[in-house]
Amino acid sequence: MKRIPTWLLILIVAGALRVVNLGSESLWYDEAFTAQTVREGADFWQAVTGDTHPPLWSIVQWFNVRIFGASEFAFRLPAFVFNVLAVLLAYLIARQVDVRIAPMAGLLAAVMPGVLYYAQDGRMYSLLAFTVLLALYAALRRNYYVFSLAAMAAAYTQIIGVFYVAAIGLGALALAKTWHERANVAIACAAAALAFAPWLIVLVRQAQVVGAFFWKGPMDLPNALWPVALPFGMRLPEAFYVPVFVIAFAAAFGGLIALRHGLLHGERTPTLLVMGMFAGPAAFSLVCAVWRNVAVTRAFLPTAVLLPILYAAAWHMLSRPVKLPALATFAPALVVCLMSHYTIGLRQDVNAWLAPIRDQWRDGDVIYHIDATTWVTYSLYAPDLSHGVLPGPSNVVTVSEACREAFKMPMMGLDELQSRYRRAWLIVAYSPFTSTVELEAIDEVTGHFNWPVAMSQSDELMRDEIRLVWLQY
Amino acid sequence: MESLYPGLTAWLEVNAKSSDGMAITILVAVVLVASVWAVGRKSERGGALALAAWGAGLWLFGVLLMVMA
Repeated sequence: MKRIPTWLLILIVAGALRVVNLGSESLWYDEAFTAQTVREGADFWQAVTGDTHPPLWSIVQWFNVRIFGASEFAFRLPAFVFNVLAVLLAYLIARQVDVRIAPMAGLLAAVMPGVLYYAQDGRMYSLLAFTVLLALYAALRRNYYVFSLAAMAAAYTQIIGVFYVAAIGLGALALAKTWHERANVAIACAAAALAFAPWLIVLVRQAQVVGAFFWKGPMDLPNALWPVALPFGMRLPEAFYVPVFVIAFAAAFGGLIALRHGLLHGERTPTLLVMGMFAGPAAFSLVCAVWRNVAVTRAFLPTAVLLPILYAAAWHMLSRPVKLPALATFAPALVVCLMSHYTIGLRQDVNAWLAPIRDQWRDGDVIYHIDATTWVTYSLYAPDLSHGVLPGPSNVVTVSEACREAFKMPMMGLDELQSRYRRAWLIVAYSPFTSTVELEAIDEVTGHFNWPVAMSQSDELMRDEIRLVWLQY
Repeated sequence: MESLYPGLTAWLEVNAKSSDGMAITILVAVVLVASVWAVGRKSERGGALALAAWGAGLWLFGVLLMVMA
C-alpha cells in the first residue's frame, strides 16, 4: 500500500482538528467587531482607520462575508484556511532545519491547542502567522520576491508583523554570504517598506489613540516570555497552569539546547529560524516596555506555530532512556490542553443570553447597552430588536468615536431612553474598564423597578448582567 | 485615570501577580532543564530518572491543586 505523504497527513490532521466546533460558538467581541466593520451599511474605511489594526484582515473578511455569508462557520473560514497553511509552512521550515525532525514538528504544530484555537477565531492572527511563516520560509529558500510580498502582507495584517519580518530581513541580511544576496535582501525589504509607507499616516493616528489608553499592565520580562507557553492553549484549567507552563518552557529551552551548535556557529538556517521566532517579538516587547504595553499574547501566534520545531529538535536530541519520561511528562500536557480546548472556557452563547429577552419582548421595549462593547456583539445577533447605547467614555477599550460613527451605533442618553421607551433590557458588562459615568448611569436607571434576568460571573473582576427595567409604569 | 475607571487598580494588581507567577514558572523550567541536562551528561539513566522525577512532581502538584480547588 502506498504511504500517505507526510505533508498531506499533516494537512488532514490539522484540518480535522480545526473543523470540529468551527462554527458552533457565538462570535466573541473581537470577531463581532470585525463583523460590524464589514457588514452592509457600515462605513468600512472609517471603521478600519478608527480601529487599531492595519486593513488586510478586514479586506479579506469583507470579501469573505459577501461570498460565503456571515454565519460563524463562514466567518471563521479564512482563519481556518490560513491556520492550516501556517501549520504546513511550519513543517516545510522544519525540513530546512533538519528533515528528521520535520514530520514530528509538523504534526505537533497541527495538534497544539494554542495554534488550533486561532483557526477557530475569526481574527487576523492566523493570517499573521501564515504571512510571517511564508516570509521566513522564503528567506530560508532565498526567494526574496516571495519574501517581499509576504513581508508586505504581514505588515498590513498586524503591526507586530512589521517587527517579525524586519527581524527576518535583518537576519537574512546579516547572514548573506555575497554582495549580490545582500542587495537582493535590501531591495526586498525596501520594497516591502515602501508598500507599507502609505499606511504610516493612519498608523500615527492609531498609535495616538492606543497610546492614550490601553488595557494592559506594564511590560516586563515574564510578560515578554509568556508567548512561549502559547502553543498549549488558552483554555487550560487553572490547576494545571504550573505543570503545563513549566513543560512548555522546558521543551522550548530543550530545543534551543539541541540547536546550540548551529546557533553558536552562526549557521544560516537555525539562526534565521530563531531570529524569526524570537527577535521580532523581543523588539516589540522592548517597545512596549519603553512606550506602552500594547502586546496581546495572541499576536505572538507566529512564534507559537514555530515552537513545535524546537520541541521536535529537543526530542531528537534526547537519548533513548530519556525519551520515555520526556513523553510521559509532555504527552499529558498536550492531552489535557487539547481536551480543555474542546470542552471548557467556551465563548458566551449570545443567542442563549438573548432568549429571555426575545421570549418576553413587548412593543415599547429597547435593549440598552451601558457599555458600547456589548452593542457590538448583541446587535449582530438581534438586528431586529431596538438598541440604544449610553454615550460613555470613548477609547480603544470601549470602541473609538470614529468606529461608533462608522458602525452607526445608536447613541442614546438617559433622557431620550426614558422618553421613548416603556421598558429597557439593560445589558451591563462590569469590567475593570467600567467607568464612573457608566456606574452612575446603572444606579440611575436601576433606581426604577427592575429585576435581574440573567447573570454570569466570569471572574472576580468581570461580570455580565441582563436586567429588565420599567421606565414608564 | 483611576478616578474614571475605579476597577483599574485591582486589574493592574492581578496583572502584576500573574507576572510574578510566570517568573517563578520560567525559573522552575530553567532549573528542570539544567538539572536533567547536567545529570544526563554523566549518565543517561540518571537523566531519565531526573526527568521522570520532575514530571511526576509537576503533575502531582497539578493534581493536588485540582483536588484542593
